[in-house]
Amino acid sequence: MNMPVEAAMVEYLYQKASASGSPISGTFELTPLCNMNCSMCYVRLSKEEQTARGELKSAEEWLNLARRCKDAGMLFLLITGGEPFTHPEIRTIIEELHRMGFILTINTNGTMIDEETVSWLKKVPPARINVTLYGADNDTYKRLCRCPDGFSKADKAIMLLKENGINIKINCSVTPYNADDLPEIISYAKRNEIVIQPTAYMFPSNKKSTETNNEFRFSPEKAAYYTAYIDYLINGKDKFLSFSKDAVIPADNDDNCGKTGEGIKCRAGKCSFWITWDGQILPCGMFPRNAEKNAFEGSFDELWAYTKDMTDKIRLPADCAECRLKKECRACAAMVISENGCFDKAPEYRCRYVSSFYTERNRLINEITHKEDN
Amino acid sequence: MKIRGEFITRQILDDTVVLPVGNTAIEFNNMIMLNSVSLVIWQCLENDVSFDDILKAVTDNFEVSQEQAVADIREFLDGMRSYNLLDE
Repeated sequence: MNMPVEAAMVEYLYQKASASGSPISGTFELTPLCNMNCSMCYVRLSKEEQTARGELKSAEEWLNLARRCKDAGMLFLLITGGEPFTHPEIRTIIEELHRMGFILTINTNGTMIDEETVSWLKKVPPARINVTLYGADNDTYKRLCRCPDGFSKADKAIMLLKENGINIKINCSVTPYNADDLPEIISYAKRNEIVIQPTAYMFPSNKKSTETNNEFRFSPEKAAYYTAYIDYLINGKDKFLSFSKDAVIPADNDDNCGKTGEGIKCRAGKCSFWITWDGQILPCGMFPRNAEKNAFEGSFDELWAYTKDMTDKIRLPADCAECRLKKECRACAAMVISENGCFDKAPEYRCRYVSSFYTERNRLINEITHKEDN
Repeated sequence: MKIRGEFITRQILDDTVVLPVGNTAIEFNNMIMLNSVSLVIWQCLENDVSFDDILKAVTDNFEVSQEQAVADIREFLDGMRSYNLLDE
């Protein structure tokens, strides 16, 4: 029997933790290093850049932190990077975290998972492994990720994990570099009966320009088109056309801007937190990396109080509160701050993305029906 | 009868959560939430016990009729059997 952790129990625990302000969910970003080098990545650093900013934390440092988080009530733990499998002590970390009793998820590009890795993972299986697929063949991986055999390796990892009963989800960031592969990526997931979650809205990289037309992500209008296209490819033509009668943009987060001056609505800083590879504690990984506290020092209760306080002070833009599209938009605090660098302006890229969605979806519907007519 | 597999029990807020460990997590990739009665049953099942042993533990710990206790224990055991979590 291989079954995912039941959504109803997860939701119940998250709601209870949010109400009581308990840190039930954490993310450990073990490393900024990655064996690939994707154009749109918001975290990756080269070894030289990482060394200049600080040393990687050891297994013992991460595990000490995990023990403190456990005492504070953490149950759900996401391990991410960079590529977490590049961390020199990844096995020690995962083995001990598994034994501590966390519901563990690992984000990976899959390219470092081979037969021997899967044989080891079976002894300490995470609740889920999220494998990000960047393309449907090696050419795309070479172009987007500078990893010429990336698809072959990721495909092999996915097959091995599946054959060995380890729960997998496929994530996919759709960009101008891999958009042509999207139909095949979704077919691949369907053929192999694996849940897939592609997204066409990309946060701006915190390392690069935040101009809306920067090359690693779509224009807002194109991102809107591809959001509809993802819906079409996943659900099929009939369901897509039927769903399209309702004016709903597929949700990509659980936030929703409230009234002017209201705080954020999502779980970031209410019951979840993110620890960066160099020890910053943030409400969410998409927030600016300027936290003053080091998660590897001091009491976790104090760190958590600091994070909640930081979150409580956030006020969403007045423009968003009064916007007629706010329900469809669901612009979260992380989008606002990462698009603008501040919380008091509406995120223009997201505004254009949302306001163009229905036009772009109609464009797609016309294309689909026109193709049929011909 | 006894629990089949390896589990960790954790207290999360005021709930008791049971998580599979090792190979058990491949076969049962889920969690179990225990209320106060099912926690007593679970603790009994950590050792090799009979139905009557469990019934005694439940009736010793809770003000409950014999009939209700039997029904509750059967329901819990059936749930465990449906996930193949019981060695009998």
